[in-house]
Amino acid sequence: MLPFLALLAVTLLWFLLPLLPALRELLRPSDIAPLKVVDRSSGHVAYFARNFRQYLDKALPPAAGVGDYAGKMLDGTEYIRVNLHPGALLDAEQRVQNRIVILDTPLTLEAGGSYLMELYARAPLVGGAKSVFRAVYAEGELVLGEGSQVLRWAHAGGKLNVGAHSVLRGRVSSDVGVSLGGDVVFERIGAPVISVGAEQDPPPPPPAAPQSFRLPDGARQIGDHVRIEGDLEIPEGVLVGSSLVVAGRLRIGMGTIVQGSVKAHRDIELADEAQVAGSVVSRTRLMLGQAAWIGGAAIAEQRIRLGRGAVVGSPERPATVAAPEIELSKGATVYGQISAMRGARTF
Amino acid sequence: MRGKSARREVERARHFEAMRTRGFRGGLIVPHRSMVGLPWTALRFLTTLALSLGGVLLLYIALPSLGRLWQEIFERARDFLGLAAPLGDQLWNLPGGLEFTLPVLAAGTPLPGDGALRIATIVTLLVFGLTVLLPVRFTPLRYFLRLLAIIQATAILFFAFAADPFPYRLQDHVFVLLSAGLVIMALVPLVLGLTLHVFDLALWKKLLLTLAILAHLAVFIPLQVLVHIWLVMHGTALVMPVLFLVFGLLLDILVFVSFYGWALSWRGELERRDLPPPAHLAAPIRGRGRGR
Amino acid sequence: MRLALLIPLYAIVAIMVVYTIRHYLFTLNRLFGRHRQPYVDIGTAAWPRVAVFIPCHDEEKVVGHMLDALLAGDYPAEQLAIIPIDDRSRDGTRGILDGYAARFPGRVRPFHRDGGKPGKAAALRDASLHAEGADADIHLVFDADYLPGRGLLKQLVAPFFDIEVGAVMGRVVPINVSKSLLTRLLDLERTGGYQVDQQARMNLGLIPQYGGTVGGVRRSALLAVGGWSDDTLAEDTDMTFRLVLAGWDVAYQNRSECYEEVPETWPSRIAQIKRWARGHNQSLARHWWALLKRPAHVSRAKVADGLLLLCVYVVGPLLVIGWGLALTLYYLGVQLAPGLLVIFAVAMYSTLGNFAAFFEVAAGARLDGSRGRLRLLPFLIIGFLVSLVSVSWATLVQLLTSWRRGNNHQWEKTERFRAPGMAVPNGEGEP
Repeated sequence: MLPFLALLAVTLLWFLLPLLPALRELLRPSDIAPLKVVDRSSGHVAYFARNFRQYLDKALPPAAGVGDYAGKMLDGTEYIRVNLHPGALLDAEQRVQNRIVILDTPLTLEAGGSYLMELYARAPLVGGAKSVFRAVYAEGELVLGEGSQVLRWAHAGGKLNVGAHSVLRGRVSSDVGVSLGGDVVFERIGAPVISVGAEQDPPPPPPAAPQSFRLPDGARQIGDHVRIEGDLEIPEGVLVGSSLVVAGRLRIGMGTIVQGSVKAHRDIELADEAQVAGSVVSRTRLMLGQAAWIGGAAIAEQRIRLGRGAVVGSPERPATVAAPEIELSKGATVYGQISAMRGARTF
Repeated sequence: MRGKSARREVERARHFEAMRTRGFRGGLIVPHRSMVGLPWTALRFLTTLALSLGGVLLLYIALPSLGRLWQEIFERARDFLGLAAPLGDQLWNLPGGLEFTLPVLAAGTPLPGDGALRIATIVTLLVFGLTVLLPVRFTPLRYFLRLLAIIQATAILFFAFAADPFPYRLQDHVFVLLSAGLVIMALVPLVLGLTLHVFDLALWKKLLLTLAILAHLAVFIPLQVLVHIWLVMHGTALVMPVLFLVFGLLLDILVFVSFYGWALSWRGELERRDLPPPAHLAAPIRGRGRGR
Repeated sequence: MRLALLIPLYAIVAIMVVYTIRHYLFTLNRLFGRHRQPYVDIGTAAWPRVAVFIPCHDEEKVVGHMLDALLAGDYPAEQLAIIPIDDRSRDGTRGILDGYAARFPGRVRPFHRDGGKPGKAAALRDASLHAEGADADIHLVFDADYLPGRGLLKQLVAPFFDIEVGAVMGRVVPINVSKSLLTRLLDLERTGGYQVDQQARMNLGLIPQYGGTVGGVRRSALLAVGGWSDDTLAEDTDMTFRLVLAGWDVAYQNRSECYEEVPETWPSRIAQIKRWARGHNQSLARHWWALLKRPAHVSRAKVADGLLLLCVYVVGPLLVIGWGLALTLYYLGVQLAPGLLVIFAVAMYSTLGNFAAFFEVAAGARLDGSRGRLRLLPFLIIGFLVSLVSVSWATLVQLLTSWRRGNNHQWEKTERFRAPGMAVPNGEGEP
């Protein structure tokens, strides 16, 4: 019996060997906390900017005064405060600033500088051309010079003008509006109005008495929308009174108005001056022609292209344009938010 | 000086790119877990293939040594346990013209008499009764013991009432467990290839894990079977169904799952190199962004 | 005789293999495939009117926390109606709800039921038709023990800007992970089920399941399919398939996470999974034929996956039958080929519940960044065994008593383990 018990013990121990990590984790857990559900409105475009602003309120020493000097936050982080001599910001050779920058008066920064910590401007700020900013918070207006780069976020309490050929990574926001130059590349922008070039006027009112559109045979009413299998081409100058779901491609002709929302499983094209009052969602690509208008969200799972003067949203009803890649032509305007995880570019 | 300036520009661009994913105190900013995926590279595909096929090849090459090892274990265990049974071998023809020699102990298969049946019945009923008395926090154990009791009860009923003789000899039991165990060992590199090597663990870790599982099973399988042999020789064929159905292949698979879970708790290469996991759909912005 | 047993056994193993392949492909897709969360970036919009329904029956321990969380959210207050449905509660629930209504008039609008069919489904049906504020465009549903974060409502509403979306589902995250081995196992199961399984179905354009909480439906879709069914234990599964068959999509949004309490004791877990099994099987009985007939707008892939989804709780009893067949064949002396034996043995290890296979769980946990808990993987077999027995028993009882109609009219819910006044985490796990 004893030899068998020995064999059994050896076999059991050998069997338990790979179970040891499991038993250890069971009895002395190393990973037992619930997943951290991050929901401090972290999806909001200005989230990081607001966090930084709150950080300054807490961390800036109360006795800190306006002037030109270097100091330390209450948590030990170094900062430099510049009021009169912006030339002091950058070291002569590297043209780099490694401390948090606080600017109290309207300033124009020199070109080619790199600001590797956050920059906070209490007054209107004009950034130099080809500057690199880790993050910028401007209480007033902010101008990013041509060829600027923003690495994490930028926020302006006033208007934000972005020079041509700039690259804006992360989040960019303004409480007034953002104006983008040509060949600007960005990921996410949120503002009451975002325009490429000069701001566009709201879309013109619909033409009087457009013709009604007769839905094709086979169209099925499902709840509050009509479903069409296959492709659909809506001719120009007609009025569509319902929301549409199209299993194939959808083309909305010039000047046509859709009073509801549309969804297509393939490409959607709004011809020049076409309008959709609700949202537009495509599983592939969405193209807006010249002066086309979408009243609600514009979503595509591959790419969106806004033609010259195309508009999404309105001042009263802001909306989001979201796709992995977005192209915006001159004069395109979005009231609300643009999100492009792979990148958006202006032309 | 032009080259130096270009190099500095590239370094600057790399530094800026790294800053995008670094927090203010240098910590890594990772995309939200709902958005991340795993990077897939051709190298990983090739190493996965190599590890899987290599593992099977290794086993193939090691078959003669494995056969000798199992013979050795059986021989020593037989002597250690004092089992009066000659040790032989049985040739198993594998696909592809391969042959593997399985150890065989020429021991008889004791069948249960009335006494054994009575004892087994009492023990089974006691076990079942115990499951009723166990508190609810032991529910899994209750269910497991009931499963054992039910299977054992079928065995008792069979030996008590079945007209046909019990269809298995101890040697059949041993043969099936050893041969199926070998099949499991052959599947280990393939299953790892499908379900573990796709992750970004270091190559040496993947290799070590494959070897560890194979080595473990190479020792465990014969030991497990030897325990079965002793139990059957002393507990009669009455215990064979439970041993086969519950304490056979399922334990081998549990060994694999234990190693698997442990390995997947290891740090991946992305984490080790402090790199952010890719967010699906994310790619570098075209054009600018890497310095000019 | 042996053939008559072998063929069904092979068929059962084949079914196991089909499910294993399905979950394997889902996991590969989640790890490496194109990720679909098209609505997650909608942050600015003209937000529609929303009614949040919270079915309650004796929820005095938890409903206060739930209401506090909703009231602290960032959804525009004028567009939000919070409608707790008090269905014949015998504890202090009614008083608590009336207290909130008094403190937040117009925002919290309790709907009290003292008559009609009992049960969550019936309560939802009643409230969705008659409650004040139920004419909102979107109906979201939360169980009373959930803890939604500040921005969750906007995230759950965003997919409804897609006119084809009829229902949305977010991700459920266990908060009481540390309580017992059971809670840790359930946490792993949920990880596989949501982070991998649901998201893969969303990626592949299949049928993510609306799960009855942390989600919602479009009111016009709800009305078009006849409202909530009040004679089912799984009104969520039932709604999923009714919407899909009628032409709507179900959107799963992995980013929209919400804390829940998982069962902390085995009896509670067993009751929960029995309820899920019975409800799910009801949906199987109701919808399998309509799905198989394949309406024009439902792809073949959706049909195939939909059927597999409907049959998920049938797998347990099949496994038990398989064990029985294997045992019988054993006594008949059939020598199964070692390879087939191995396949069957491996198939036995597939876990139930949401049917997350090991690979799926592992992938989910690593994507979550919580790899340490994967050491517990071998213990999943414990959960599997309990689920297998519970689901099989529930299915058997259901089959034997199916002739009795109207046997769903009672409240069946998961036991609550929180206490009123207890510090609870906010949406970020901080007290």
